[in-house]
Amino acid sequence: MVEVIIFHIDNMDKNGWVTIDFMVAFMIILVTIPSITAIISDRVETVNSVREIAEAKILEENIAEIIDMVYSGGPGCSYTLKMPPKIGNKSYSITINSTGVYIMFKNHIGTEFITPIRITKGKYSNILLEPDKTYNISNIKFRNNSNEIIIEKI
Amino acid sequence: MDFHGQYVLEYILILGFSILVSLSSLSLVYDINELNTIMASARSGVLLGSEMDGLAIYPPDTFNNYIEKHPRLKSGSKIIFIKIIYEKDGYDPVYKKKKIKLKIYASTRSVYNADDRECMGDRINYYVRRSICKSFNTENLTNIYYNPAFSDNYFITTYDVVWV
Repeated sequence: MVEVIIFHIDNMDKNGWVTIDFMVAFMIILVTIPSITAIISDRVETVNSVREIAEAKILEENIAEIIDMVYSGGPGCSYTLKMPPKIGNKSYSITINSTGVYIMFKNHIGTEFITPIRITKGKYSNILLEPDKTYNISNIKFRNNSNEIIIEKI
Repeated sequence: MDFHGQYVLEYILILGFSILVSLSSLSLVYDINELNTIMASARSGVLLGSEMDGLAIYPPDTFNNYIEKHPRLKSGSKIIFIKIIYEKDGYDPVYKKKKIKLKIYASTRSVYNADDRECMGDRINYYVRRSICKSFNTENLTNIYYNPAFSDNYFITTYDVVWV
């Protein structure tokens, strides 16, 4: 009977230790986890945001590079450009004029310079490239033996 | 029984002492943890701000302003983040919080004009403060420039970025 009681007390002691250890560890976790979660979610959001903006910038630079390449290729040179439907599940718009390529993304604007040349879109001089559309960028001979870049939707 | 009694008493003493130490250090741990979160958020903000400067993508108003006054900033530039430090600046009775000022050190070799650098630094500081406010869900307590930023027990401002 005495042995049973001693065993019972020993067992209670051990359980007590485990419980207190667990409670202390749990308290530390409770204090630490929310701040770690906040840091991680903030960092993930930052990285995603940077990735999207970088993709937008790359698209803008690629278009500027293609226009310069078509221009330097001389009359007859052309390139078929397929616009991506979205950048990181967000819409965007590209505007081109003779001073550069402009991208509007997440209410931000970026620009990339191109060689100052005459650029038209068929009959229009205001060139807006829409997402998920395909365009043909071609170099044609203009008046006075100068070149002109024409951007047409296919 | 005596043996067990002594064992329990030692246990209670150790437990009491442990709880006392834990409780007394809890506020210190919480404070350090909060500071750690502030600094980690600030680093995220520096990353985003320097990327925005580096990729030269801005809100429309800023973009138009740069076309007129800071044309160099229309094109990207490489920014190297060096370090970020904080200075405790006492207790502020107005906000009833402790004050911290953050100082960011960065470097760029492609922008030399002091005004242009100031614009870039302001953007980095903006994203630093915004990141802190987002981490502590205090965006509704501050203004559109997130100045000052708030954590649970601190209010945070920023020095001009130091370009080295």
